[in-house]
Amino acid sequence: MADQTSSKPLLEGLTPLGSPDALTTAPEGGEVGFVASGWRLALREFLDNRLAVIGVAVLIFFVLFCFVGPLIYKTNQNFTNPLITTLPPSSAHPLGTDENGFDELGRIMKGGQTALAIGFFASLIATVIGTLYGAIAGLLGGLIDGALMRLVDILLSIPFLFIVLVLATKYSATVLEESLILGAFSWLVPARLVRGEVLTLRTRDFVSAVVVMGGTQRRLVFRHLIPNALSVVIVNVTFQIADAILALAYLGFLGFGLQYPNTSWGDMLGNAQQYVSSGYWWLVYPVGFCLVAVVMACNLIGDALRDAFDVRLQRR
Amino acid sequence: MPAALTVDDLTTEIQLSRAVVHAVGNVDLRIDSHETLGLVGESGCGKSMLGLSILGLLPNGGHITGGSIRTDEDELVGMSEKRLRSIRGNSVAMIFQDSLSALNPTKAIGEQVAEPVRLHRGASKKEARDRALEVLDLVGLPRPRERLDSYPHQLSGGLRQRVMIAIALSCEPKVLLADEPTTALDVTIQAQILALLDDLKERLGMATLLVTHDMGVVAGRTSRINVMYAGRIVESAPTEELFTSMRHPYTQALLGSIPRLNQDTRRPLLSIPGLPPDLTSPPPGCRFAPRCQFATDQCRLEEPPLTGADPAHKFACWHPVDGPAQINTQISVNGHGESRLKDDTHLLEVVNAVREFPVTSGAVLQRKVASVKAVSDVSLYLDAGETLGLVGESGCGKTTLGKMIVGIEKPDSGRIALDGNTVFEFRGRRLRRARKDLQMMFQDPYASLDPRMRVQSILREPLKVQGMGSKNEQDERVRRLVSEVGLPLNALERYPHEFSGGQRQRIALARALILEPKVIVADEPVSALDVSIRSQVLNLMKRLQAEHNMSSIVISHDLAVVKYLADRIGVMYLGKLVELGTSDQIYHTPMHPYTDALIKTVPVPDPSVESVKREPAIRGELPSPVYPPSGCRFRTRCPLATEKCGEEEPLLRELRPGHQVACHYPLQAPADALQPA
Amino acid sequence: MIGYIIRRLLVAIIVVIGIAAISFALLYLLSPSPVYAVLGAKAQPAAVKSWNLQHGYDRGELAQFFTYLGHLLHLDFGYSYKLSQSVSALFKENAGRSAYLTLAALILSLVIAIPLGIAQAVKRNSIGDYAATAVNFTLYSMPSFFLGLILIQLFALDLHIFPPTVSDSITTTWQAFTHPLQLALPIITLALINVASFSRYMRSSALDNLGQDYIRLARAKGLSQRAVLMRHLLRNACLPMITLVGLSIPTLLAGNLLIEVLFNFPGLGLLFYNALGNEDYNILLAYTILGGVLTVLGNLMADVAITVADPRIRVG
Repeated sequence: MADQTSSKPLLEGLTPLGSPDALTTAPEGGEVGFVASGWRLALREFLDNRLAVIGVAVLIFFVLFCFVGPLIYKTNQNFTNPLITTLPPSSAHPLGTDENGFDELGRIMKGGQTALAIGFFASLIATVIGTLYGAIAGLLGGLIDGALMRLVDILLSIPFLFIVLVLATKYSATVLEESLILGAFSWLVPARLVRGEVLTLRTRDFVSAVVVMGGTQRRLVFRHLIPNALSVVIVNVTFQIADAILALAYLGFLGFGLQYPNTSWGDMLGNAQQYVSSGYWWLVYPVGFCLVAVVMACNLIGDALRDAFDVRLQRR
Repeated sequence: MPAALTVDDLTTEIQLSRAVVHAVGNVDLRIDSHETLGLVGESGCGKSMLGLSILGLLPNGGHITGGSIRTDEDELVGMSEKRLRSIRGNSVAMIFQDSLSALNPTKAIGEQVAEPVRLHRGASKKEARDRALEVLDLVGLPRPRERLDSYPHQLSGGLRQRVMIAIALSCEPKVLLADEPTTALDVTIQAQILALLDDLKERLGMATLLVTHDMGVVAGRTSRINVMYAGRIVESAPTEELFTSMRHPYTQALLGSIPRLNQDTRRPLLSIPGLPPDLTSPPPGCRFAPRCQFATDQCRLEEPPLTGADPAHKFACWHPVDGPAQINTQISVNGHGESRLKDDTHLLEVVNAVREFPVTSGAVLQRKVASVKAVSDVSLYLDAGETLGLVGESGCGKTTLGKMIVGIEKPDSGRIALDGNTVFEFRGRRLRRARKDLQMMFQDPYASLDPRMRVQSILREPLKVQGMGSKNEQDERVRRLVSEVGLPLNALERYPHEFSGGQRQRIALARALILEPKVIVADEPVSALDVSIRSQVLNLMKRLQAEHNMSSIVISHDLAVVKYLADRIGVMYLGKLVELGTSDQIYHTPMHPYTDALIKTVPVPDPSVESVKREPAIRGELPSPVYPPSGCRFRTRCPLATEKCGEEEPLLRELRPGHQVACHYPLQAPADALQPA
Repeated sequence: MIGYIIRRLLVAIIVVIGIAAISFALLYLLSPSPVYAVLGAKAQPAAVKSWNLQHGYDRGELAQFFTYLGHLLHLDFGYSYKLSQSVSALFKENAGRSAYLTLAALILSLVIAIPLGIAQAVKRNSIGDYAATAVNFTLYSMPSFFLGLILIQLFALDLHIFPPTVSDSITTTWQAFTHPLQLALPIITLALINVASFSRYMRSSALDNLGQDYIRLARAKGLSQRAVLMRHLLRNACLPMITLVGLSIPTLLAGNLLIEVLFNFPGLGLLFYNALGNEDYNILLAYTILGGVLTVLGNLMADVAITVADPRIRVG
């Protein structure tokens, strides 16, 4: 607010040019309220969302549970013990034992390690490939874009589960193999998303402004397009992890799992049908619950991130 | 005789998740039948909420917390939802601003017009359809029978607005609430709709509430005006009196901040510093006090009541003013005549520029079926130190032309030359270096700044790209420019989303200036801003023009804005340049019938001028730029058109020194026998 | 319009050929010839060679592919050596049952999701909305077979309302239709999984529309809430659903696969599953291509449907 005593009233027009008042009185544009930096604002919005915080907490819990847990709670996970197969929960085995005599709780921890690992690697592969592919397609445009996206369309037309299963008949024994086959067909969605985002961004005025000021294509891509497209990528990563873990569950249930004695949560559900009809509930529901919990946490985080980024961009 | 609508002490609040918005506070108003009451104010002042409150259509969380709303029969506050429904669309009707989003996109318009009739009058399908036909004819929709089964997106903006009016009128309401009915329309269409509303009011005797932010619109169409600010009515007076002897400082500042066509362009506009208050925590006392230069401590503590010696003219102010403000300072305007280059080359030349956009169809093989003739053979020039304005309605091609000048759009044919060089034929590095001299200020303040970069980086970037100066020198220049555009230095640390629209435009202007270009193109620099903010940016631009001796091109659909900033004006219509001349020539002696109509149609905030305007100066709709009329493109709406106009396209000829026009029957005789008409 | 459909069909054919090529390539990678499946893993090289020669598996990949394409045009999907039937015959047998299951589930899910989504949008942020969102979210994060297992445990094993698996006596589609109790659990499971994603989408679409001016204008006409929803909102909010359902074909097929396996329902999905275990690659290839064709057709139908339903979109 202009200082009333030292400058002429606005009624007489602007303070004359060149007078010291022109620079020292409060700017006519008004004060600028302090809000927060872009990322920090998004972070604050994210943290405000209680569900998101719960999601993060759940995820951290499970990571610790699966990777640190076995260091504290040591069980035999390698040698079968026919004497103690399929025992219901007891003080010795809080979640009972499975058909090989392995302690179920320990098995869940071990299974979780591979499930989380595969989920992480698969989504990493998918995101990296997808982002590069989509960015190139969006930037180059024209016929190349058309051809690249046509390929994506064709691959997307093949039901994901089918093609993954077909590959799994031969390649599903190791963590690396499973990550690869899942990642190999999951990059299509991020490619489409990133391409779409790049195309939208290219029409924005601030991109035109860079051209007008004489900026190079390189500057446009690396300083402007990619940082702005990042939010889409980050949101997508969380959903990728959720989808990968679900896909793992499907693979396991249908009989395509890791090489014994390795296991993942999905594999543990491979015989779920028999377990249920035989009444071995402790071999089905705890694992299932862990799986659903992790997937839910990822989805919660993804949703919250998406909302947080939107708010920031829309804040006026 | 009771008024058709009386509102007493109405207060409305909206409950948000974390705060309460005090949208409307203690508002009184009264409208009689056959009367139009104007309700003016800026965005966020609560005028729309007032209209919605009357019909009980508040958004989620909104409710009326006090006061009364009475029609001549009923008290609306506290009425049951069921009874309210029988009043909506029946005795009290409403029309909205954006006709494209206000009409159901998947229902035929006939059905939508018939719906209230079937609901309130119990009409059968056929009866309702007949009534719909009747009403559509009443609102002047051409060929209504054919249009009954059309969909909203198939009609132009003006026609859609007529449909919306038809919906409102279908049950012969006694009260009509018109919320910004013409804001989304082109100027020439706006005039038609306003005339229509007037005419209907006369014929049907409705009490009309005309809500708008445009002072020119209310000047001619209302008998009384209420001015709203931050949820309160701050002044209420008969129209004539409000403009000639207003009492509230806000009204005074508002009217003083609007550039007028007959404005002395050497005087700055009044500007209101700061921003309207946040209605979740309005300031105590008078809500305008933080921005009012007459404010005293009393104003900041105690809220003034709405009073006045004359019951017809009330205002809420402790220190009322007396009539319009007098502005005594002048802005020194550079004499552009002297800056003309000695050898008579123009600084910027556009020669025969053409740009067409293909309209494609087909999912895979995008076949070109037609083209939008955005810019068709336009030639103009700009000299050093002068400002050229480009004005025209939607589809005229001014924005595309602006983009071609800064090289974002490539002309299909023709050339653009700066200082004699056709810069856009350069390649690579040479082109990038040359771009330094042609900068742009974009229209949308929200999209033209990279949301991820701080202002410091945004402003430094052009300097870095062009390799100008050391880091320290660049920082120094950035700081200087930020202050020059009226922003505090701490703005450099902030991100774009932390600023208001007006502030972002300042940043955009700073960015355009930082390379000290030879030419700046400003595309609709103030259109997206609130009325009271516009004058801030306009004054800034005016000042910088004078100080830096800028050569610039200002593009706007608002003739008053263009006239205020520009030395010369080019008028565009459907891709063609129809007239080019100095601001004075264009305003005082327009030659093209379109220019003349534009000037006559633009609503001027002066009741004595507006109230004598009865018939709209231009009839008809804007033709599609995909299929422009043959010959002269304006002939379909021109009162002087003959067969010749359809056969032969008029070329741009200089009929008076510096004044060119493209018309077979120009309105002024050419000066000496240069070119016979 | 006809021209548009024809153009799209031509493109679709190219896409299908692309799908066939990719599937074939993958399959060839995994198993160049079914000879070992037929003659046994320890077959003599000489026998292998002669069998290959006899059945056309000795030629190069490209030649084999074109032969395969040729067969496809005659709707000949090859022969299943394990089941000793032509693949087409197997498909014909099972297709009806699978179609019934999937369509019944789809219809049921739409009947639930559409009103639910709209109701959630209208009563935004109410307890009911939160509860429904929570349930949807959980369902969304759950592997479909896990939901099936829970339902089986609850309704079949504990409460004895439905049978845990489909009885072997249900062999034709008509029988499936006339014995709703048998099919209840599979259909309900599939439907619930679909409801999770459909109603999320529907809620979002309804919310978008509710914020639009035309809803406000409808209210300003004096229409009751019910009339506004039914006559104005419903149609506009459902438009994106058309696209969504069209794009959901791959998900529906995957769901079908898992549910059939879980409930032992004799359909295409179970056929595919058995083929996975038997390495009966002709069936696998054929089903993958079929899935691709259905996906492409689904997209095409969705596009055509939306041009019919939405007057703003007109082609040609």
